[in-house]
Amino acid sequence: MDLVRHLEYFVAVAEERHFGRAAATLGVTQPPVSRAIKALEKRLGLTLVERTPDGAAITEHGAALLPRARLIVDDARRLTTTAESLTTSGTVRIGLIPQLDDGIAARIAASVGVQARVETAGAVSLLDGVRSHDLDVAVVDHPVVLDRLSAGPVIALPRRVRVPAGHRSARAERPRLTMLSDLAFATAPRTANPPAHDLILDAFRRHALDPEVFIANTVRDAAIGVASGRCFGLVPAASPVLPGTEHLDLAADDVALRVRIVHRDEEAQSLTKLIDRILLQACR
Amino acid sequence: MNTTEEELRAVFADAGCRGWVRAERIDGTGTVVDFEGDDPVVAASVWKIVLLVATARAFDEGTLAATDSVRLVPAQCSPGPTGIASYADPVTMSWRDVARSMITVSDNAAADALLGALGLDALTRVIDSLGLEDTRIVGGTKTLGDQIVRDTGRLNADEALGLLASNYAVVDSAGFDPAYTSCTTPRDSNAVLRAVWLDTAASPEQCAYMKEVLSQQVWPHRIRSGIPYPDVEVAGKTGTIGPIRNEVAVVSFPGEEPVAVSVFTRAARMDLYLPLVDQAIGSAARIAVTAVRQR
Repeated sequence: MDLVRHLEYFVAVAEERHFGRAAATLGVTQPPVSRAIKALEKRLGLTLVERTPDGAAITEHGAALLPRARLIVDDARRLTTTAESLTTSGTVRIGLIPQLDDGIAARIAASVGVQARVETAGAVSLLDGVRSHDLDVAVVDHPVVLDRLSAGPVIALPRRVRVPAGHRSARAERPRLTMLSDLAFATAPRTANPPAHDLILDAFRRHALDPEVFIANTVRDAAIGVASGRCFGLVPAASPVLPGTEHLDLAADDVALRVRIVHRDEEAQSLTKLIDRILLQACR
Repeated sequence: MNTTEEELRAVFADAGCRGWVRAERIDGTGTVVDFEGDDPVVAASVWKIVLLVATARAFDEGTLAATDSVRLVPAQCSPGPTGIASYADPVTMSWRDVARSMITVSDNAAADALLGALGLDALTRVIDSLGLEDTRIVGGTKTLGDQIVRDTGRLNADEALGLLASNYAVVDSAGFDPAYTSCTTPRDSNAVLRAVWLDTAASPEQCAYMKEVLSQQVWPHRIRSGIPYPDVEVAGKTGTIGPIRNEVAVVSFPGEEPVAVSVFTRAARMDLYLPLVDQAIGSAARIAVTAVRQR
């Protein structure tokens, strides 16, 4: 058990008298905070915080332990800061989903510099990487099962529909999703992120488009599927138009790529902010 | 890591949700399947089984008469999609049927009427006497609804749930966080079911009544979907709020010791309807119950 982190959460809850506000100041979601308090109480054999419908109140035992907890937390912070200044030469490991624009990936790498190690994989695999400390930060498509990781707000990156050149939807004055009914949908395998995969298909079906799925293991496979005339796909709005393809502005709200930046609790905050700025620039 | 755990992990990953499971024989013998079974989880309407036990005890103690009639006016009741709140006209029914409606169709109006008659303390006494260390009930269905309305800054529950059902933004609510709302654990909810099936939750007569009511639950889309055999009884209670989908049940195969199984989930998607997750609850229950039956 991570005693220092649990104490830090306890101090925050004691100061804010509220799980939600404590979580906000810590930059995490509420469940890890409540789990930490539970674990701490179990370990110490004492009730530290009384949960009430509108927040949290500190118990007598909690109040007695609070000053000592503060000292430990402050000291631990000092230790981390010192360590960070000693390891600034370390690598920064970033995971990105393949759907993310190459331009964004390059901008992130350029901002981080030579320490950057960028890995491309599906959301489920990237989150495993963050959980096992193989990655510091990941940018994944939303919705995704977070499972004990913290994620920033949803950022919507515009996408366009890539269709075969000369397809009836490309010739139409006002193209509609149903015009794609003779094409398969070229997309990453469902296992890359099942809920996000299902969500986009459900959105298509809601609009009377129920396409066959063409599993494209790489972005190039998807592009080739479209150029060959068999498929349609989704591409970042800024992507170059490849031979044999055309890009349509279609169902912008449904096809936008929604992403979140995921990290372990309270770690890699400056890196998260940096990526957040780059993504926000891209969605404007 | 054993195979059952891997199978459960795969089922939840495929459905796009987190899951918490515990399955064990009623008599406490044999294998226990526990998949994060001590984690606090949002109870949603699963809390109503605690109220059912409190009601049964009130029938035993005579503080509430099972066959006394109560008149309920839909317009004055707590809102809900099923049961009395959905009726046009006032109804008169016995307390034991009010409790039945609360369980069989998850009737919110019935639950709050019972809670009003018994008081929150009656629930605390059940929680304490059954040793449910990680179960906490903050109020009735109206309290839970108000929590969500308050967090979203909307005027009523329908508007609030509409906003929360968006997949395109992250809108969270204390109503989806076990630290804030009524919560339990798979271990605790199994303990309630076991006490009912072992006749220790109340008198044997009232435990028989509770088993009957739980077996009359109408929803077939969750645990029942994984255990569809007509000769096998699935007696349980679902719970649903936002991305939370739960069911706790006792599964009785003829000639075998019944198995208590609790499955709690939280989906990545916020959609009102996610049949894939409902079915995953059935699959998870089948996997866990099968493992318990085999060993």
